[in-house]
Amino acid sequence: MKRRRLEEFALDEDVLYYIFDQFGLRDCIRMGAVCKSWLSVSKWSISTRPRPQLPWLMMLSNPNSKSMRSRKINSLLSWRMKLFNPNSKPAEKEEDNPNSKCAENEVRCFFSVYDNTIYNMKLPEILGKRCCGSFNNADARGWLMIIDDENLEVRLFHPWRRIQLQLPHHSTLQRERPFYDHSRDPLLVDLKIRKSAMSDDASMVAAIHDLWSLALWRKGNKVWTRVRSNNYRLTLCDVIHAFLSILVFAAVALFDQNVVGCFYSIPSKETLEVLTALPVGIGLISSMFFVAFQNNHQGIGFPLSSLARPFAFSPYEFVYASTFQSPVWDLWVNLFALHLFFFTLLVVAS
Amino acid sequence: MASTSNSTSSKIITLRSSDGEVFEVEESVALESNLIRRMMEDDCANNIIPLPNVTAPIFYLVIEHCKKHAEMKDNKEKKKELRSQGEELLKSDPHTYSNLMEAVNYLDIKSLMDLTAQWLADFLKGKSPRLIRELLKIKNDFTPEEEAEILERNRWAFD
Repeated sequence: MKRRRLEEFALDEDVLYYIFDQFGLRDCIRMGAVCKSWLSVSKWSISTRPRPQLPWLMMLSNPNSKSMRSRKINSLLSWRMKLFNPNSKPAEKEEDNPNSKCAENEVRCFFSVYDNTIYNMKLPEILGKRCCGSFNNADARGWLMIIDDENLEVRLFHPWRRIQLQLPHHSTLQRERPFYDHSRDPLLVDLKIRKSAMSDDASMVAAIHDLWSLALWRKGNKVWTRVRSNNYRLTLCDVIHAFLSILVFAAVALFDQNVVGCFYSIPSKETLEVLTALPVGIGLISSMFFVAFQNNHQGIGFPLSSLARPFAFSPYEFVYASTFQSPVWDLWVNLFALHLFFFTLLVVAS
Repeated sequence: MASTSNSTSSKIITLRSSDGEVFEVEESVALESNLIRRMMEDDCANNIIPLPNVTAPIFYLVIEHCKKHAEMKDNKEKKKELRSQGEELLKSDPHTYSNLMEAVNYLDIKSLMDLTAQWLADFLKGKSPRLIRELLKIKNDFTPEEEAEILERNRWAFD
């Protein structure tokens, strides 16, 4: 052992690791090309980097690049151009030179905030694919979520470690729509993963795809597990609410003499009695019900709550998404019901 | 560390390197090494402390650096001098430098380890792998294919 060491510069692995640990990622990778023992230490150092680093920002791809993605946009654009301006010439056709295409496609640009430079990385793995999410917590650091626009395959990809993980196909993420194949529509194809998060040990991914559900993936799962919030499910209570609302409307309408006259031109004594008692009864029942069983659902004409509220994994692998409640609206509904109740009481008293 | 060494600076500790040479070192200097400190705590201070992993010439270097490091504590000029000496050694005799680092690591001298690692890191930073191999006289044990693959994989890092 000692003899060999006398001839050359050699350091123990832990000493090397100690030194490499002071390097940025780029220098650490460069050191890996020196010799075999350095390579193993550099890999070790890269894979165990715990301390927070300044982010790398992925730049938009070169607008002139001939990747599938931009090709697709071009075709869409030219299609739209045709739609609005039928006389315009189609966009210039790109030369189909496979060599130059590949060479350009593979390069992604990253801007490193740490050393203020742009790095070009050759990433043939994500050729023609789109990045739809990135994760930056604990062990999930550096993972990208990649989607293939052609066949809607979803993958996780780690650019430094060059690992790919197949996620379940995008079709298992979608809402079941028997009449309409979402994935075939070229204009809706961008409606994809709106937000995604990864657990700290990189074994679980959550994604928001549509407004009403989350999708979860655990390591080894073949499909996305969709989690639907109970808040948005219609229950018996909602049906009764709707029915009573109609009754309240009818009761209000029956106070108007013109409406009554329309239905009963010459009302008999019994009908008159019923007509005065009925609104009071309806008001009583429905307002009691409205007060007793409150409802969070918003009616027609309310904007959808934004999805941009916090969505993340807490340290305990617990997912929370935004809720759609608006307490102020509930209050108004209940106050209105109470008012109606007292109003009908007043009418009866007079 | 300084406070403990001041009170017991008169004591002399005897150490023996792997090639049998015996050194007499002041305790203040010897205590910089956590290895020796532990050995003394384990009550073998009266005997000669053997250091089987360190040869005499390297041990000379370590002691020299330890002394200088103790001197330079708040002296910027000395700090610079020590640094330039370290870099000089790294350039002229990288093999000795690596042995020095190994010995420092073995003796567990935290302050000196930080310094030597820092010098080496600064030296390596931004240099190409080929230049590093040339300067430090490291043998390239990759096959040409392997090397080409590594370079190709992380092309962004080598541009």
